Amino acid sequence: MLLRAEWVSHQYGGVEVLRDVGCGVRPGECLALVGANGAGKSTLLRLLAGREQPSQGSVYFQDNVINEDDRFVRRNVAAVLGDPIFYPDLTAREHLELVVAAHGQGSHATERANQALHSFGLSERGDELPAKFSAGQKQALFLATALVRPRLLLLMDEPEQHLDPEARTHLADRFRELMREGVAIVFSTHQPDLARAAADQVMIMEDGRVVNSGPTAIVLHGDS
Amino acid sequence: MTRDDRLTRDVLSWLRARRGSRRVVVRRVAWVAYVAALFTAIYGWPVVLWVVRSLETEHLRGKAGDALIPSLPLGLACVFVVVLIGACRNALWHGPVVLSGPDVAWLLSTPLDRARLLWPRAATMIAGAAVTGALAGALGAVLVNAVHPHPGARLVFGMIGFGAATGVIAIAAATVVEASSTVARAVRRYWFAALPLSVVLAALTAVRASGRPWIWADRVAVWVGPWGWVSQLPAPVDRGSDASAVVSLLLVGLLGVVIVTLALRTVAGLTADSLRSRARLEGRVVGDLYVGDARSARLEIQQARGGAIGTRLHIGVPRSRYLVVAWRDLIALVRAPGRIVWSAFFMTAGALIIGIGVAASATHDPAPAAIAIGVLCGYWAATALLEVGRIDNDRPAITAQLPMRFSAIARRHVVVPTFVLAGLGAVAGAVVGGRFGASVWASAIGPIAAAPVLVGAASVNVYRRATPVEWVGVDPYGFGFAFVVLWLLIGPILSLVVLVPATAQIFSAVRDGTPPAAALGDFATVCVAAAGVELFLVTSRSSGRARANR
Repeated sequence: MLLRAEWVSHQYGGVEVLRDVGCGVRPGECLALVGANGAGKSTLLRLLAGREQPSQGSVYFQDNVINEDDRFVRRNVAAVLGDPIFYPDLTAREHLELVVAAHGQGSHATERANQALHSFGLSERGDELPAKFSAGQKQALFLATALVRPRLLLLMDEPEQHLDPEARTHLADRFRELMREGVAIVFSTHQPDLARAAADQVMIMEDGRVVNSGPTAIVLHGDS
Repeated sequence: MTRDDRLTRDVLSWLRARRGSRRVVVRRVAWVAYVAALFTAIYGWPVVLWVVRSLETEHLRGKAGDALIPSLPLGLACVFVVVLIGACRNALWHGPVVLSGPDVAWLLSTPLDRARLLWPRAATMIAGAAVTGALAGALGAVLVNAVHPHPGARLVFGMIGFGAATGVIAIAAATVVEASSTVARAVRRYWFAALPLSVVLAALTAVRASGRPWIWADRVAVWVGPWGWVSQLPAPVDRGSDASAVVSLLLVGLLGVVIVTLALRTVAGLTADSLRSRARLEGRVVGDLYVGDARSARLEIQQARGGAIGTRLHIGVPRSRYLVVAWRDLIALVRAPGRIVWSAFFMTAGALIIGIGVAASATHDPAPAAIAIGVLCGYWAATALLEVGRIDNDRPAITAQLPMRFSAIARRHVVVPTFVLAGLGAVAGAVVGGRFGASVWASAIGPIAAAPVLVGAASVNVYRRATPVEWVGVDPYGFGFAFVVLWLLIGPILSLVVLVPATAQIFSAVRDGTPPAAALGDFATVCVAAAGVELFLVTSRSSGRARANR
């Protein structure tokens, strides 16, 4: 397993938001966390990204307890959690170049940034500030900053939000490409359709617990 | 009286009655004044005493007093222009007349007479400006008294009159800007055209203070516009004659009447939309300030003004990952060159103040107050260059896709600002040092050595968590309040603690015969050690900030 969570429970101010959750992904696998608001998907993703340590249980990345401050984790785990945030004075292209160059690929930064802008339909707006973008374009750029960099594991919290249907389809295609490259993906979603299109494993969550999990074709069979 | 007038009068008097009697308001104001006075008495008096004693040295009194009075009309004219520009620019987003959130929500949609609703507020603001200005003028009179051997009652009362008149005219003009979209548009487009005027007045003041007699340009500068009429209240151009004082007094009175009348006439034209957005913005800014988040408040204001002046200069991304953070900082500076200008301004001001301190001292030992103010200017110069660090600290998640730890990024953010500040400081030091007859290279090296300390101290202040305002009032002795002040001012305090004694030591060592190179070497050693400690603090505080934000 590239990433595994074992008996993870978590509390915020004495309120239990996750209870005895276990999951894992191998390289090239995609796991979708499906559930309503407050089901605990975002909290689980934060724990899987090492941004918080669980109250009980552990999360392992390549058999080491995950911690966001660990250099190996920062180099290999790309997490898109929370609202899109950008520097107010950097253009969309410069955001992508910054990420690529920081990962030691500065000589290809512009080329990689242009490719990412093109694949998310932002080629025409590469030299503009993200503050002028629509919500969907901001989300696309936010996703692009995680996809343009090298990574073994990709974690995304509701990546489809604000995206139009065409962009969602493109996102599912992109996920499948990444899986073929050996990247493991975990994402949360309200949309069973996206889970069905991209994930090979699904975990249904409710009130901080896993109520069903398994291969997508079985778990989401007949669910619309 | 129409039906609407009666309705407005009844509603407003009902609201006044509901909102408590005047006595309650006065009691509240008195309580705030009492608490402020208490804190000043407990914590502020040693500072006040120190500053006044520093100013009251006979040497300074003679020199500064001689220079002050002749240059006063021009200097005060410059102050008037700056205050007027500030008030008018403030009126573009905020303005003197701002309704509270509940008033906006409940009163604007009713058929109340807008003029009757807004007149009392405009009048209160103008009267408040008169009182505040008079107090500021009185404070100015105290300072004049400290450096001038025989200030005279006329000068003291003139200073109070200048402050009051400046306040009234500035706030009344700002009310006109707020209420008239045409005037507001003109101010938004052309306000910077008034800047050269203030620069010219400042330059004439400096030249006049150096001892040159009055020339025709000075007279034109003080008579051609209201800035000079007001500034002649405490110090008429022709000191022997009462004519200029009387004329200037009449002109100021006439101008005051005209501008206040205009303000009260136009204020009724304020639109509901404008009042609503101003009230909303004020609510957000006050909320930010209440929790000690001055930066968010500043960003709100900047956004309301239409953003900072920026460029679209492009710098290619570096190939080496070790240069990426420096590239990011460099982009921030070239996109907002105003930060470099501010930094240069403060570095020059700091060097100038220390230079004046040296020149004013008989032993060439500047007063600690002069060094302290100079160091604080240097600190402000450093803070202007650290915007990217602040953005990161606001939301550490913005660095989530970078492979470096947040603390490592924080450390790298000091590199470019340190080099820029050292460069600006070297130029400012060399120019000012040369002007005051000191060694140019020694004057340039001092700021270069101080730059890491100043940037380090400013960075320590940048990487802090939310202000612990809950500590205010936890104990009756004010320790909680003092802790919060320390929390907020840790950067300036660090700069002062390190650089004031170290800088003073340079001058006393040189005076005692130590070669300047050796004195500067000791200074640089202290600076390097202090910068190392500050870098450690930046690392630990940024790590804590990243953890707290998760």
